[in-house]
Amino acid sequence: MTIGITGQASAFENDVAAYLQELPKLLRTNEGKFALIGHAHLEGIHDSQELAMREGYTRFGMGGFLVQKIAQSDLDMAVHWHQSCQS
Amino acid sequence: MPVLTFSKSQLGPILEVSVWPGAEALNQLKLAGQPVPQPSQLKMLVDSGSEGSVVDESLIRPWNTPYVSLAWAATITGRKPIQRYEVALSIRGQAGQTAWEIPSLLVCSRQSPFTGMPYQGLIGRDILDRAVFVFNGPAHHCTLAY
Repeated sequence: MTIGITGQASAFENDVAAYLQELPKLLRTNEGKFALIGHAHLEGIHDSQELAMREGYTRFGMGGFLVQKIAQSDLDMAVHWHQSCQS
Repeated sequence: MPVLTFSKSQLGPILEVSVWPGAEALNQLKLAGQPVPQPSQLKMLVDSGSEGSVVDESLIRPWNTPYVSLAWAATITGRKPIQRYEVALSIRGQAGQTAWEIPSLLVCSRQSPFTGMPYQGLIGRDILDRAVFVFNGPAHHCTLAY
């Protein structure tokens, strides 16, 4: 399954797409941990939200980034989102 | 536990809240030499059906702080990702009661989600999970112990 955004996407949408692209693999190896995504790339995995946030602010400053708990529910939501984008 | 007491309105339990950038977001604004925004005053509805707290995007966007996470919102066409920001909250009860200060919380930001409503945000289970909330219907008041 490929989850992504075509056309002109915002930095936020690109970060979301990068996270969702990595999510199936992350679920197998790091479920429950916290992924840090910025500049549309997976930048690291952290044990706590606090650590990931700190690292996010350090790396990206005032640019946006995502700290996301690695969870199956995001993948479920993404499938609904992808289907609605296609319809 | 400190307790906040407030009246129950016709639309439910609505609280007076101040919101401003969360501790680390505020630090980043200072490092970038950007102005520190004044706290926004708003009303928030206590909503135990909402997993996370929500604030109207128009209050957060002018701060120029970065999004730091994502959540999923239900729309007419299905689910879509929305941005979450780090904020600080001060939740107030009646005069003389000590406000509940929350220095850092991730809240969802939505564009004009409460049009026509007398509130600009929702207090969700991320906050309620830390408190004891009592909705006293017959007495027309609520308490929030934290």
